[in-house]
Amino acid sequence: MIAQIESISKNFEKKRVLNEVTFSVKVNEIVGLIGPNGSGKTTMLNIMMGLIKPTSGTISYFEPSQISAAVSRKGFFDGMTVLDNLKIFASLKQLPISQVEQVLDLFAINFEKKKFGRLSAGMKQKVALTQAFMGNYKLMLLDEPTNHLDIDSILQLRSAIEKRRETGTSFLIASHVLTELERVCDRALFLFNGKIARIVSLKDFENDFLSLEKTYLTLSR
Amino acid sequence: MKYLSFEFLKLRSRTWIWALALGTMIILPLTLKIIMNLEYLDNQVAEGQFMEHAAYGFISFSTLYIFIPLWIIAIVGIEFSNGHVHQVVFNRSFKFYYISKILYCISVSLIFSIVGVYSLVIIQVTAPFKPYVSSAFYFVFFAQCFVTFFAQALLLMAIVFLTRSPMIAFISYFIISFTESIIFSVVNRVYAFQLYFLPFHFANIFYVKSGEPKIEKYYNPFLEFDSRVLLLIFFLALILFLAYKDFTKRDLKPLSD
Repeated sequence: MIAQIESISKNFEKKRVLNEVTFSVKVNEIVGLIGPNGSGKTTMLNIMMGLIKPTSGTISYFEPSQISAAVSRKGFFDGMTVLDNLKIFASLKQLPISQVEQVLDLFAINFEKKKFGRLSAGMKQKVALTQAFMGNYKLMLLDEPTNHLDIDSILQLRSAIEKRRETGTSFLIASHVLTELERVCDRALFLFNGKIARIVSLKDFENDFLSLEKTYLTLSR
Repeated sequence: MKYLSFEFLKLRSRTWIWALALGTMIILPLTLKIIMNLEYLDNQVAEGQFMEHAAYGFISFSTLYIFIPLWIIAIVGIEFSNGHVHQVVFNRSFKFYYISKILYCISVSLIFSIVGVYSLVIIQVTAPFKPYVSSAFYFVFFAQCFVTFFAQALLLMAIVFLTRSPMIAFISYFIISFTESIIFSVVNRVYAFQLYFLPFHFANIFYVKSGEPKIEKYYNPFLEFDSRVLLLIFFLALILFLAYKDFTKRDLKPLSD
């Protein structure tokens, strides 16, 4: 097990956002996190990152320092170039600065000299993904990774995820793009109103291309 | 070193910071020089107190809104509003971020102290007469600048950590310092008592005895020791501890698009 999430609940003032959420991510596994807006997906990822404390419950990691995340396009300095921003992330992750040049190709970043604040949403998303893929990790947390990406970039992302999985990385991916999750995930967790409504194995739906969508629609009714 | 090199990496890549640094390094000594010359020509300052006036002037200028408060509140505050704090906390820890910011405050205090020394050298060399000061004067002035600026910087840093927004931090600082001045003034007039322990007045007692910036109250604790500075050190340590507790205990704003 790479991560074990046990009975996590979170209240924001009086509102319960997560309610006794329990799941695990196994070694080499890609898990999708699906749910409507406000269902608690982002809160769950923020709790897993240690930015928000759960009201109750525990999270245990196989190796806590071996986690990387791209949950937002925030955290970058608008007035700085893409390259300088990535160098800061390399320093934060205690990686050699030279590693930055190597990961630029991953998402075809050829605008590294541009100021981050001047980039389009899609370009910013590529930078956010690039920082997450810098270094080798046991677990990667991605929130809406395909947001604003063009088709080429989505294919690059898919390929990057597959390559990382081959080297033993597990993923937890929150997304609304169910067809994309269907392509890469081993399991999917459906989160509704802060509760795990269902956990499905994608193997069970091998020949059903719209299985996640059908499950989602069934649960949402 | 890892904390400082991380901070330096962030600062050196931003053009506006270089502009701010250059502005500070030129505007501060230049303004002081002009004011000192005018005061001298206007017979407002005796030759024997010329350099003391300049020392007081430099410290009180540096603590004005556009200097040290801007360096602390804007730069640390931006990191809260753009989500950088989240990334540091996730990739390192709350402790790493907090220590790196304390070291940043030390660096800012050191830089302003260096600017202070060369500002005074410029004023001494270009004065309309030949003021005499020993090299020891510069040493104690440097030490005084450093402790005063560091105390101010720590208080400002605590405000940023508590408010977590550069704009709210600036407004809070303005309201606190303005309210303090009014309370100090009213209590002093009505009861003839100086409320030196109000936070920002307290941080001033490294250079003015009453805590209220007034040239006649200027002194240097490295020459005339005042036991209240020990109380101030304890007060600052307490503020730092409480701000750290709040930082680690309160949730950061969720990171999302």
